[in-house]
Amino acid sequence: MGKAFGFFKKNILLIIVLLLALVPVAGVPSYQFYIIERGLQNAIIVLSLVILLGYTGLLSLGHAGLLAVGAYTFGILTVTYGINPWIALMVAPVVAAALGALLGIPSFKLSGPFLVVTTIAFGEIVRILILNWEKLTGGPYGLGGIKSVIPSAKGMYYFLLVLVFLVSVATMRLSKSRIGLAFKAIKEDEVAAEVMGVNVRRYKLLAFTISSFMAGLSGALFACLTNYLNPDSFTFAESATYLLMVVLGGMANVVGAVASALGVTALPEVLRFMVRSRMVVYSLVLLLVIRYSKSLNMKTLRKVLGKPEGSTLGGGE
Amino acid sequence: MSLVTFVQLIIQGLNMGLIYALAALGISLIWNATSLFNFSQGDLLTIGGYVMLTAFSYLALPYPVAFLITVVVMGVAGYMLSKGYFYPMFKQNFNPQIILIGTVALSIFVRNGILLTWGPDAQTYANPFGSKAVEILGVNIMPHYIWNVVIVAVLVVALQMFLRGTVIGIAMRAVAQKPVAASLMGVKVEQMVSMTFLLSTGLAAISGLLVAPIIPLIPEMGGLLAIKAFAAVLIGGLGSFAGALVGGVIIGIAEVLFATLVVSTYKDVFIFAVLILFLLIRPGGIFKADISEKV
Amino acid sequence: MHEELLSYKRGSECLLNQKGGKRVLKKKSVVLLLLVTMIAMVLAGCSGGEKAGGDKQAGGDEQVLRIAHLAPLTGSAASYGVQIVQAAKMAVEEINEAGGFTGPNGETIKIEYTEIDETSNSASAIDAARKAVSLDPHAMLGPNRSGGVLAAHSVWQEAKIPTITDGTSQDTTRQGNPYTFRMQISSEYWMPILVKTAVEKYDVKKPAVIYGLNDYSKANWVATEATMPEYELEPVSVQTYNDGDQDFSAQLIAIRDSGADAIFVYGYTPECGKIIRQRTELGMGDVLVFTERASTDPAAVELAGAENFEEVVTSTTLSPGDPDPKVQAFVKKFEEKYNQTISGTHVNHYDSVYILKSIVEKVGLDREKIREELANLKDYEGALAVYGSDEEGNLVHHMATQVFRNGKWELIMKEEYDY
Repeated sequence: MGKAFGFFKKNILLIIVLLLALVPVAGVPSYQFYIIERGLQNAIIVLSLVILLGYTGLLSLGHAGLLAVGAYTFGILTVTYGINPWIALMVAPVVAAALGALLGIPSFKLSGPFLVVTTIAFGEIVRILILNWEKLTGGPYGLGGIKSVIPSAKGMYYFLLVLVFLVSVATMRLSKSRIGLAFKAIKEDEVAAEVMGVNVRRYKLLAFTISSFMAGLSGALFACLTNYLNPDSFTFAESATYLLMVVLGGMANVVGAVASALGVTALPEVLRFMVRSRMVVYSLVLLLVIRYSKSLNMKTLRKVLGKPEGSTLGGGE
Repeated sequence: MSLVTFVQLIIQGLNMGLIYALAALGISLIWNATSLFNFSQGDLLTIGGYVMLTAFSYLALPYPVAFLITVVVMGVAGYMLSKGYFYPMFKQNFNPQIILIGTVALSIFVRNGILLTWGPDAQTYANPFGSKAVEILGVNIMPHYIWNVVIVAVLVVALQMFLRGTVIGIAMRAVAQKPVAASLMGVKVEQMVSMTFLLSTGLAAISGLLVAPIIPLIPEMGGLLAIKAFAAVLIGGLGSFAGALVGGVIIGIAEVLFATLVVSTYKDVFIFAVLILFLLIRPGGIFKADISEKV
Repeated sequence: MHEELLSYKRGSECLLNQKGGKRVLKKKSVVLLLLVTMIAMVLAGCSGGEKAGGDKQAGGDEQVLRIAHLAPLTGSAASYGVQIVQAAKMAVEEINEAGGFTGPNGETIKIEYTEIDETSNSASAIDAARKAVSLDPHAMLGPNRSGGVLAAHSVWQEAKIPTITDGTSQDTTRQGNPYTFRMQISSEYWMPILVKTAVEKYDVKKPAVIYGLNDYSKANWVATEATMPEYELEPVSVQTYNDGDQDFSAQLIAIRDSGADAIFVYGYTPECGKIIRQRTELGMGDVLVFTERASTDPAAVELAGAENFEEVVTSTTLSPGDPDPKVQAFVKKFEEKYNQTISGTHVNHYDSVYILKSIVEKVGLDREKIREELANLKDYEGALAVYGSDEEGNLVHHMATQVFRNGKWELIMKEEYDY
């Protein structure tokens, strides 16, 4: 069943991509078109969280900071230094990865809320630095005039689509690779993993590095799409939204992540409803999904294993 | 810098620090009882302020009545939150990280709910303690500085008396320290956990309604204050009463001093850097909470 | 820490199994969600829309003047976003209720007005601008903040839609965008009158400043600073803050220590209100405050507390205390219709709508012609002022200062400038 499962999954992704490929020729109005592009761009950072949180179990609420690093690197290189956008597109993720690796170091010692607060602090520090380092980033005036790697709207769209597809496939491959298994071992039980020979520190660092690389790529693409950067786009609220997207998508589920990113970003605008109240609805859905995730599982577990799962007394031990 | 200026700054810092301390206390309470770090504490504080706004400003109820209503409403909300949402997850042995994400989701929900319900404009109400400062030896003292200190002191003392002196209080502490033993002794763990939540949201409500006349209410306020509260609770020592208070005051004063002596625009960066340093070197915080010291 | 690890271990015991089950269930609903999204998108695309990036030239048989208004309906400028929209809407309703107006070929034209939330936030301003452009308007109003304009202006430039922005900082009309116009006076004249008032009417000798780290406030300070040498003034203290800061004690105490007799406060409404209040709380109630438009918002007065607002001086394009009968008539009409105190913000967009109407009356619904007429606007008499376009596209050429006394604004100085 495993093989069929994998095949089915791969097919789903292809179907989605093919449907999305129809968008530019379906006469979608310009704003909705742009919003779908943003959804695709968001999919990449959500996938980065799939790797960090879904596979490795490391929760980051500071990913907007990494997005910012990627975006501003791209913007500064192309606008201030006139570097070829393609080169900038390749450099930006690397810079983000380097910074993200730094973030990985606290994760050796810290876990749970301690790590999360560190990531929040990281995100805020990045934002404030960008805000105040006016010479480099334009500070509150922002950085404008950024040209995309591909000037044509349709071209950019297909480029994004292809990128999302490749990144999705790569993530799925990662999941089954040795590295992916190491990640999952760490998520399940760090101590046991270490005992079994997994170099926990090295893999945590790797998880952060890969995740930050992808976030940086997403950031550079963000710069291409909006052509203007401002620190307001990279606040804690954005980091929380990416977390919301990855959890709604199933945390370790690649297709879910893409669907969630597109849905959360684009759905209200496309269907033109609940645009104002959407965050309330999304967070409510998330609350419910979290709350009832286990009871859904218990039902399937009972079916599969055929025995009731005992509930323990006084769970707060 | 003159002595008068210095004292003035310390007083300002102390004022904000107490607000952070109350929020930190709420976080520590829940942490002790459930090992859950409540990321939505800042937003609960904010909605407390908004509830007070509705009672005191919109409905024009007298201050003590509005105060009471706010605390009761928020306390009950906390109780229900525990009973209906969080406790079942503890009981069913949910992955703690998932529950943590649940508090983040709650934070987003409350924040956007406030935006939808009360609107985006900054709102405030008249300071019930008066809006004229008194000058003592060159230092300006607003009445609410004194009142805030008094209220917080009373709260802290009352809380300690409650937790150590009453049956329910002792039961709550028992649940926090040894849940299995407590339940074997007949303590209703679920109720005690929910009582802890009630206390925590009640505290959040009080800090919220004390803050609103000083800092106008905006939906995003939860986020801004929360990060400082997190810093306060972690630096002071997660789970420690004294830690929450000391941590809050330290952050409040350090913030103001750094802003004056160095540069104001990076004061948050300074606080975060200190926080990260503490987390790396001494994650337990200043008052590494001893089991016997647990609330 | 040990405790933590234990609880984590316990929690993650059934993880692998859980995830498998979760995945199946999530997968199905996810696929469904996705298919719905796809279908919806395709349907939405085929039914409603104009083509992506389409540029329609409105023909002569079109009878609707479409105006899209980017206004801050949420975010920190929201308190006056409402009034900006109300003012524009008042004009639209007046025109439409009178049966519309007549175009150059005798056709009746009505106005279709849509407001779009630009969230006071530069980044979302881009999204909002794209949304506005996809409505294919003939002209646009807003955004409100310089950040938003700087962020989004290339959107309307590309779409070739003439846009009248709000009173943003001077850089907005200096971006080389011929489609950007500004319902405000160039900053060269805006701040100096504030300094002039401070010196001539209040005899200020030791000014200090506190400004927010955003482009708008910073630009205001830069313009003010440039004027000071003329009056032989030098700031005795320069303080800054980050938007969203709630405590300004450090900065205010530093200002107090510098012995300043006046503070220039530049920022957005929430911060201005807080700063004005905190200065009194710190015993600086007798230090004069000079500020500008953001503080004319009734919300600022409320935040600061009216008693702390006495004698605060602001610069503004519209003062409710202006004895000019035309201004008074407008203020009365506005306050009666909407039952709220007017503020000195972009209620000038009332006139923007009328300006657009009179242009279209002349040249019809042609965007390029509209743009050209706007650029050549001269001596247009609106309800609130006389407008004309200078070479940068600034439409306003007067400025006033007012002081808050006994709960009301009183006019101090008003000046007209050449362009």
